Amino acid sequence: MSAVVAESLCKTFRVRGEAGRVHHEFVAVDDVSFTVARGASLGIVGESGSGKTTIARMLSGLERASSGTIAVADRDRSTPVRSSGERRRRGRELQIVFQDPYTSLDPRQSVGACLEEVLRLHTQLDRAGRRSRILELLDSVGLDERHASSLPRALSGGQRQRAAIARALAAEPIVIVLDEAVSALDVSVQAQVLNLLGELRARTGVAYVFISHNLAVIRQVTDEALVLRRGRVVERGPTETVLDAPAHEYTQRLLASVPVPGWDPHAVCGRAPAERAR
Amino acid sequence: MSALLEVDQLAVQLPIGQRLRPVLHDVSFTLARGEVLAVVGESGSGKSMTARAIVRLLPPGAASSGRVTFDGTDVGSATRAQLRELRARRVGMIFQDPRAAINPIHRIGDFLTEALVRDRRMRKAEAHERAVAVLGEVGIDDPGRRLRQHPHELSGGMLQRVMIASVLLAEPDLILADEPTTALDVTTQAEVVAVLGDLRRERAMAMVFITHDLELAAAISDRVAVMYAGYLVETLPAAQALERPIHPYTEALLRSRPELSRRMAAIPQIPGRPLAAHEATGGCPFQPRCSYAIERCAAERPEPVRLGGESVMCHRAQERRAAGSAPVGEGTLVR
Ligand SMILES: Nc1ncnc2c1ncn2[C@@H]1O[C@H](COP(=O)(O)OP(=O)(O)OP(=O)(O)O)[C@@H](O)[C@H]1O
Ligand SMILES: Nc1ncnc2c1ncn2[C@@H]1O[C@H](COP(=O)(O)OP(=O)(O)OP(=O)(O)O)[C@@H](O)[C@H]1O
Ligand SMILES: [Mg+2]
Ligand SMILES: [Mg+2]
Repeated sequence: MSAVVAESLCKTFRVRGEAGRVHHEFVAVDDVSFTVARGASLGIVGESGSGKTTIARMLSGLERASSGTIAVADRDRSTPVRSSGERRRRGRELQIVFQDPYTSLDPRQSVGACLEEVLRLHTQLDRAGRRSRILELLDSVGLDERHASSLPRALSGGQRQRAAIARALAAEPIVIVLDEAVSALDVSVQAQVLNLLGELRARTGVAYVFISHNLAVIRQVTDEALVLRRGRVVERGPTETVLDAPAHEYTQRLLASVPVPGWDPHAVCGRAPAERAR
Repeated sequence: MSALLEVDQLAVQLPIGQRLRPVLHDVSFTLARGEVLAVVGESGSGKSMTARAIVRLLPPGAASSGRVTFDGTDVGSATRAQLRELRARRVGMIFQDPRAAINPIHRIGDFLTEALVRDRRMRKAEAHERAVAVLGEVGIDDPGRRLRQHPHELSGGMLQRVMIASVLLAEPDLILADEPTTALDVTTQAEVVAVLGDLRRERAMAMVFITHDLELAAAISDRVAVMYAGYLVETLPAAQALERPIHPYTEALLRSRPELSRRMAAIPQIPGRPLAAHEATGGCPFQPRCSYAIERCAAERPEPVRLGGESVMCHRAQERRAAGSAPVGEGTLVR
């Protein structure tokens, strides 16, 4: 059984042309297909602007695919929802943690109230049950009671991102799409969250679509990886193979760009020092 | 030569719950022209707040004490006009969350050229040309089209580069860069860092660079500052940051890095939970989680001690340094 099947996904956006009124089409995602089995974890890496977030938004139904199909838990999602029950089910089955945590969280709602709402909607827990589950969820991402009463804007960037992760976990989904979900965390909190994601997957069989620029993180939490460039998949395979023996020139370049001791940004991008156009 | 930026005993309190509570404790450091200070540390430890406090962009209701001196001027007593001038021309801020910092209803072109036209009295066409050139430098294809778009039409990493471009256009003397490359792929990150490096060489631009990437921090900076629970617990030369940190928190942080070359059974975490700055008691803020803590650590807060190029807030600093520095385990460094 599959958690996610995406077939020939395409997304084009209309963009404004030079004269203001002339529009043309911009292909953001170009014929992307993948399957994520139940309990599997797929990494998506690639150039900034290559279509990763657009894919995430299509998976979660926030963006309509221009063509192609998406199924979650073997149920097609290409057609619009027909009932509120179905909308709720879709919401529970696939949760997303956005790249910009501000967009994940309602600015007027405290973190605790936000979790409470998800639990009320998607679980059978009673009041007391929800209360203790909220604390458990916060604890699992390194937050606590004092953060429960905070509004998103009173949290640091990383705290906000962790609140968003806790919210995604609250619904006990079949698949979680994590879009740069750990890049705002310090490495120690990141370690905690990555370990937690690993444990949850082993215990509950949740699947992940894990988008990240951090290749070391991709190594830790995914089994397979896609490399995207300009909307197209340029390489795919088991994460180990993609990282240890990259076949595509772009993947090789990515790996060569990772900061290590002695890293020289000019050498990495083939730019002579100080040739800045004035 | 006097420093470009001097931060002396900076403390900030914010309204949390019904009370003002500290989020920054006595943070002090200096920065010379052309110098780069990388700031790393725990999420919530006050990195962004430090950057904001330097240009007095604190949340409503905040109280602060201490002194920030920029190029000989006391920022704390600057007038509104002086502050505006400071932020527009001399100190550029790259915010952590560009989506929240850039007005969503304006086009990218307006965002980038507005200040040039208004404050520099540049002609529109010229400002446009400059914006196109700078976007190209930070690796954005088809910059002309991007200028006509709105923020929601750009990817996270593109918007982050727009934010960086806006600061490059202002040609400030100091850039406060708050996680400026987290949304960028590593290849684009190298391009952007190279551009910033050139500015530093050509114009002696100084930079405070907040990041969670310890390798990146060490590679691009002169010194690395480490924050924990509102305290600056260690400042050390970049060359030493990855191999010989002295503070136990820094050492623990280095151990928590995921490895690129292999899948780890579990990534080492720091035991216990992070402390909020206002929960810090009389002792060392890291003491409850520190595997080197001694009795004194719970009883008495260490004062920062200077040891050569380092400044460390740890009772056992001398001893740890003498012991040939922290045993960060060769294992964690072999990649
Ligand atoms: N609403 C929109 N209108 C027009 N173009 C859009 C829109 N949303 C995205 N795009 C374009 O689609 C492309 C892919 O964007 P996307 O956000 O998916 O990239 P990404 O891979 O997530 O990049 P990053 O790593 O920088 O976050 C970009 O060129 C972007 O400008
Ligand atoms: N507006 C606010 N009101 C109250 N508390 C706040 C506010 N903004 C931030 N804080 C608190 O101040 C502390 C420091 O926040 P800051 O944003 O400086 O952290 P940071 O080190 O930048 O963390 P991160 O790496 O997660 O971005 C945090 O504990 C946060 O919860
Ligand atoms: Mg994205
Ligand atoms: Mg921050």
